[in-house]
Amino acid sequence: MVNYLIRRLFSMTIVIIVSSFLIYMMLNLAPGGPLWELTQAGSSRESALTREDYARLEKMLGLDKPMHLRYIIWLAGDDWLDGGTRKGVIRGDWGESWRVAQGMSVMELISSRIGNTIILSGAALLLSLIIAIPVGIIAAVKQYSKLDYALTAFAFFGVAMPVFWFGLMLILVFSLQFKAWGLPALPPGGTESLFGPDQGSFLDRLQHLIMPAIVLSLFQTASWSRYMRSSMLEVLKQDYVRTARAKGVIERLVITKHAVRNALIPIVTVIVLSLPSLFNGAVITETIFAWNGMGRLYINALTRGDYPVLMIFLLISAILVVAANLLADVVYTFIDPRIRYS
Amino acid sequence: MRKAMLVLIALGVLAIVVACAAPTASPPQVVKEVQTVIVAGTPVEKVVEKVITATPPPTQPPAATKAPQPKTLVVCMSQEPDTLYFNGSNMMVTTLTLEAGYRDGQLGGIDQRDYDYQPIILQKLPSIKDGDAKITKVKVKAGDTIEKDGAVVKADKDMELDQISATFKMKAGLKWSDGTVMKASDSVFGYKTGLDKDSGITTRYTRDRTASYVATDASTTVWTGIPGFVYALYNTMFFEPLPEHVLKDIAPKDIKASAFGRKPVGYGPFRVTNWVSGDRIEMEKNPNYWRASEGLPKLDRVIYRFIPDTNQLTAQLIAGQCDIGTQDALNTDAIPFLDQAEKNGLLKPYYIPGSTWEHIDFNTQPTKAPKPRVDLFSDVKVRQAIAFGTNRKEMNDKILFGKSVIMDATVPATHWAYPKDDSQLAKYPYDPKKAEALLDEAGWVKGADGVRAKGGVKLSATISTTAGNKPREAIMQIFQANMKAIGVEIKLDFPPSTVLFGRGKDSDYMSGNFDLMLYAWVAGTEPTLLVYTCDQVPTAALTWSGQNNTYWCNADFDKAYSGFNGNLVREDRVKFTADAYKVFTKELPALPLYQRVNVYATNPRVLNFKPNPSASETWNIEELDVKQ
Repeated sequence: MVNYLIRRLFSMTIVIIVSSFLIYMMLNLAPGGPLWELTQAGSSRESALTREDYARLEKMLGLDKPMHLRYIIWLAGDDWLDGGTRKGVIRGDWGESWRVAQGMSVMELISSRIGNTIILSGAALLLSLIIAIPVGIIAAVKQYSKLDYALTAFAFFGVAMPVFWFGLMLILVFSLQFKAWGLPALPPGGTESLFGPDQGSFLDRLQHLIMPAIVLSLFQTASWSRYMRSSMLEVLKQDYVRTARAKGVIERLVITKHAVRNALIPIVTVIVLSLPSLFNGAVITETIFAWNGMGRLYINALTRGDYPVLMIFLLISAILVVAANLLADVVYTFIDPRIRYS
Repeated sequence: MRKAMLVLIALGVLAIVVACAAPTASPPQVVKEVQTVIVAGTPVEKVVEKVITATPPPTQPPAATKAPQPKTLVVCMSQEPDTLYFNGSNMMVTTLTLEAGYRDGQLGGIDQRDYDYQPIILQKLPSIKDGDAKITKVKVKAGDTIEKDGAVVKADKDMELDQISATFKMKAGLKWSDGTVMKASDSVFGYKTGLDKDSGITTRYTRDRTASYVATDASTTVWTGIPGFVYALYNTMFFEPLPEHVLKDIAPKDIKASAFGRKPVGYGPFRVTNWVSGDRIEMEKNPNYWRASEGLPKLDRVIYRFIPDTNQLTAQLIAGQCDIGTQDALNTDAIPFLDQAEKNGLLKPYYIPGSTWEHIDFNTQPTKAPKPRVDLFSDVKVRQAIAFGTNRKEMNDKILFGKSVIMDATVPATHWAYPKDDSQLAKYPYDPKKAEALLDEAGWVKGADGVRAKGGVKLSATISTTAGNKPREAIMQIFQANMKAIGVEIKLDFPPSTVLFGRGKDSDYMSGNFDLMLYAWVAGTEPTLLVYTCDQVPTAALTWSGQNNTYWCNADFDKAYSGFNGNLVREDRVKFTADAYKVFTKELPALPLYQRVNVYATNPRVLNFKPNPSASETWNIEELDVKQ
């Protein structure tokens, strides 16, 4: 196992370095960039950027250097190279934001959003698990019953429903119509109230969380419940389940002890692989509900060419994806003793 | 059965979690109810409700009455400012936020309403007529810095040139938000900070053309331009003050990253108390505001929120969580919805034809591009035919719901530079018959497929505009149908804006690799004329950086422009714009379409909201108020 882990960690490091290099190159080669919006300033002499201005701003951001050198500086700093002040990502210097929040360190910027994203994605993940697994089990056990058809219909609804439309409808009904009808209404968006005595309290934040968490979990719930159902059906046909029943084990124990545990194995992979979303956030849901999370930060940085923020975001995402894959493999050995790595 | 029960219990747990949230919502609901009363503002019925709530629970209302709610206004915009250090940002939302949290006046002490300038923290704007600005002839030696043909250069020989200077007097009683008196030297400090090469300032146009900027006493600054710089906006050459006492020990490049970048010490009506990155900026009344004795600002708190999604923002407006939706957040396609919401008394929309105007550029010299294209529009008759064949009224009515104004020249008709007597301008009302006649005259004959052709070349052009812009996409479709009716085939092309406006390569659109292009310019106080002059034609030598994308070059127009540019008296300048527009509208290198409509919406409780086409929506933030 230890040997296996060492090998995996080594290959992970290589994957991450290569992917960070590719990401860096692709960002820099894409049209646009951090200075692009400044060049679009306008039709007057005062606001038009001259070539001298452009060169001055490029130099300020270090964009005047060749691309491979910029990557090395980003990765390892330039204090050893030409007496600069950058330490580089591998020595913990994540740099400063160029456009989203000029002058703010990327670390600070990300830490201002990560909490909200973990809350939202975490709640959605939890909600999906709580619903999807029981729903999948019921649907499998009661295969082709009316309940199964109803749950299948729900799953198709969840998979097919576009997030932005569903979110909008929830806002329309539970925020605006409920308010118009004089019922207790949910806030249409944001992470907390702006004023009032309960501003920022747990309950206040919970109220703001309900709709985005439901919207975000809908797709996951629907698709996971289908995975669970088919995995469960597979297991229920196995010989050991029949044997258990033949031995006279009561049905409840057959399902929970023998079937569910084995049926969960493929589901765990799916769930563990979705863990990076705890960091990445959900662009559409966060935008619809004005949820101040990582997804919105990412889109903002992307449209404005904020390379330092983008690079850290994409780097961490890459690390998490690779790490989640490793985690899924390791978790396997715990839930399925038949699997051994050497 | 039992397993099913178990599972149902699991489902029940979830139901409880969700249900728990709903009842817990009820305690604060009492307070929320109070807010609804304020928001809805339907007087009689709501007052009765208040009485009822006041009687049964004796504990709750006293708490509410003890602490009067501070008057808070929430401004919701689509983007977040990148910094509040004004030298480092050119975002519209930064300007908007700075007007409350840092400065007074859109340009830093000077307002920009109705396409003109108004002094705010200055006693007056200097003028040559009044004697506080003057032009003098100065002797220049070879090697001195001068302006020649729009560029800052070293004089190649001894000569005599005009030099402008202007005196600015600040009003009495100006203070920084920390209580320190604002001095003229703070303005000079602002000027000098921007000179630093790492200041992050985007353009140094005026700084490069400044010979000296000095404080002559505690409240007076004098600006002197470099010889040869005849500048019509000399009266705005007051540099925005920066608090020297706060920033004197901070290097210009470090200001953005310092506390000042996000919580500046300013002279505006409010001061920043809290910036929740990504969500909002909170401000409170600045007790040291220079107009505090007049009872300004009227609000106690202002919150600027960042809500990128239009639907969410509208929902927040209706729910009373936003008071003002800014123009960057609302689009013209929301007009029917906003009108409906207004009928229901939920919000108040405003539609102001703004300073941004859309136009179609013709490529007038396609054969000279690095990648030569078929010549379709070098003939003025074809350009005029396209103009007559374009139903701009239909575009306005269908896409902008009739809220905009069709333009004849490159400035709105309300702009000072628009000729008083516009009968000299060529106009192009929708007239497809005239369009067809002109095309026949130019030799483009209709073929069997309905498309005109001349010498084997089809009159088939591609029009390009930025992807993802709904009004523009709709405009292009109307244009395509209009052109089909007169025998012109139009293909639509939607590159991303980074590609459409990208420069530097021979293959770029901006290097002449297009037939027709639809995009917008912004009319400032100075009319959009420069971008149609010959020296702005993009060339390889300039790495294609000129702004005259039509490649149109006309000596008469240039003559009118240089007369306009070299003149400082507005009455005379208007004569030159009349000449320029006479040539422009006849030659038509670009077809002006309409002014883009700025859409704003406020909660009905907002008072004194007075949007202006050339100012930001909250230019009078100190006078804004809310009904309570």
